[in-house]
Amino acid sequence: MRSFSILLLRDIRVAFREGEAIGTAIGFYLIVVALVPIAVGPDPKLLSKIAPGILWVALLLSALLSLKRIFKTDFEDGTLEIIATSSLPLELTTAAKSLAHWLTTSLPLVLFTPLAGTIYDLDTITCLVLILTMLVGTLAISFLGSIAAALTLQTRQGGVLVAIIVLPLYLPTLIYGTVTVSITSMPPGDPWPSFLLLCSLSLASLAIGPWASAAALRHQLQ
Amino acid sequence: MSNLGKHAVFIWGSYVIAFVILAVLIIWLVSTGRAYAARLDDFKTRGITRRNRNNNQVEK
Amino acid sequence: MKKQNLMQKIANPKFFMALTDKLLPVITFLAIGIVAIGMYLAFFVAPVDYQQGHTVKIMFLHVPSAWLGMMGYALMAISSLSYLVFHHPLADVSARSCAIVGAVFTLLALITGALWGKPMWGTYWVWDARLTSVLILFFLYLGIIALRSSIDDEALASKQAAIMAIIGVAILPFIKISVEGLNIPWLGLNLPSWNTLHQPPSVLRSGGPTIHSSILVPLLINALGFTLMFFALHLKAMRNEILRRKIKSLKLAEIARIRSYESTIANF
Repeated sequence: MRSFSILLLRDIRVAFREGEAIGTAIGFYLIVVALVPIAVGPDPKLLSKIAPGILWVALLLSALLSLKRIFKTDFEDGTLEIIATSSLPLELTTAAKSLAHWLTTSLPLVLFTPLAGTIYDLDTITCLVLILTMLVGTLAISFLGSIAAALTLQTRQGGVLVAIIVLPLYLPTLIYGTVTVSITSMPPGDPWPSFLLLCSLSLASLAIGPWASAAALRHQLQ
Repeated sequence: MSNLGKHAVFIWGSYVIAFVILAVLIIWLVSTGRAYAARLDDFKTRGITRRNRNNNQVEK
Repeated sequence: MKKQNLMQKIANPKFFMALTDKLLPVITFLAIGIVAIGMYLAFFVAPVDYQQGHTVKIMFLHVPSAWLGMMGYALMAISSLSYLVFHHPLADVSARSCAIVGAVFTLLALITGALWGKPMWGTYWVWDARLTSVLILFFLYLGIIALRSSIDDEALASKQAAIMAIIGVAILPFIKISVEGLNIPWLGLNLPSWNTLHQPPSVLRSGGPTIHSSILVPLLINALGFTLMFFALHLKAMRNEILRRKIKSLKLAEIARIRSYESTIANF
C-alpha cells in the first residue's frame, strides 16, 4: 500500500502546486453561489428552499470542470504510462487519483458551504445535513467522474462530451443528496432512507469507479 | 376518425411526428445501404478484393 | 458444441449477411403488417377513454416507443458485454446499431410523451418520474453515440463505448429507484422518490390506473409490431455497418497496393 499512498500524496501535492484545478472549482462554486440570489431575488424563504438544489448543482458543475485533470496532465507527459506499468495495479492507480481529486477539489468546496448556508438563510441543522450529504456524495462524484475522465481522455472535443456522459452517472447522487436535505427541512420526513441510499451509492462508486476507469485506461495505454 | 375530440391536433401531431422520424431513419438506412453496395460494386469491378495479392494490376 | 458452432458461424460476416438477406424482408413485412393491424385497432376498435378522450390514442405510440428505448439499451448492453468478453466483432456492430435505433425510439417516446402531456396535464413537459427516467436514458444514448464518434481510433472507440454502455446499465437501477422510488411492501421497503418530495403540479397516472383489455390488446399488438420494426431497423443498420467496414478495409487494401506498386517502380 506504500505505492498507493505515494501516488496519492504526489497527486495532492501536484494539485496544490498547480492550483489551477482547485482555483477554477472554488471560483466557479463561489460565483454560482453569489449570482443566484442576485438572479432570483433576496426573498429568504425562496432562497432557503432552493439552496440545497443550487448548492448541489454548483458542486456538480465545479467538479465537472476539474474532471479532465484527473488523468489528462499525466497522460500528456507520459507519466501515466509509467505509473500504469509499475507494480501498482491500474485499479488502485485510478482509485488513488480519484481520491486525490476528492481531497483537492470536492473537500475545499464543501468547506465553503457553511458560508453559502448563511447567504441562503439555511438553519444550522439543514446546513449540517447539507454538508454531510456533500461529504458523502462528492466521493461518488469524484469516483464516478473518473470514469468519464478516463473514457474521454483522447477525445477531440472538450467539455460537452464529459457533461453528457457524466450526467446520468451523477443523477442518483444529486437526487438523494437534495432529497435528504429537503426532507430534513420539512418536519414529517425521515431522511434516513435517502441518506443511506446516498451512502450506498458512494460506496458502490468506490468499487465501480476505479474498476471501470482502469478498464477504460487499459485500452489506451497499450 | 373524423372527430378526435378537442385535442385532435396533439393526436395527429404525435402520429405525424412518429411517421416522419421513423421515415427519416428508414430512408437514411436504405440510402446508406445502397451507397455502400454501389461502392462495393465499384471496388469489385476494379478488381480490388482483400484476397487479391497480384501486384502487377494497374489501377485506373 | 452445436451452440459454439452457431456463434462462430454468426461471427462470420458473410454468413450474417446471407442470413439477414433472407430474414430482413420477412421481419419487415411482418412488422408493417402487425403495426397496420395495431393502428387499425387503435383507431377504429379501441374505445374512447372516459378520462382522456381520444388522446389515449397517443399511448399506442408512446408506450411501445418507451419500451423499445429500454429494450434497445438492454440489447446494447448485452452486445457490449459480449464484445468486451468474447471480442465478437459482430457484437460491436450490434451495439452500435442498437445505439442509433434505440436513441430514435427514446426520442420518439419523449416527443409523444410531451404531446400526450399537454392535453393531459396542461403542460408539454412535466418532471414526472417516468418522463425524467426516459430523458436520462436518452442522455445515456447520446453520450455513447457522441463518445464513439469523437474517438478517431475505431477499435478504441468501440471498447470505450462498450464500457460506457455497461456502466450505464449498472447505474440505471439507481436512476430508476431515485427518480421513481421503490415500494416493496412485503419487504417493508419504501424508498422515497424524488418525485414524491418535489411534487409535480398534478398527480399523474399515465394510462390510467387500470388498462381495460379493449385498450390493452391493441397496445400489445402495436408493441409487437414496433418491436419487429426495431429489429428490422437494427438488422439493417448492422448490415450497413458491415458493408462500411468492408469498404474501409478495401480502401486500405487499395492504398497498400498502390504504395507497393509505387515502391516497386521507385526501386527500378
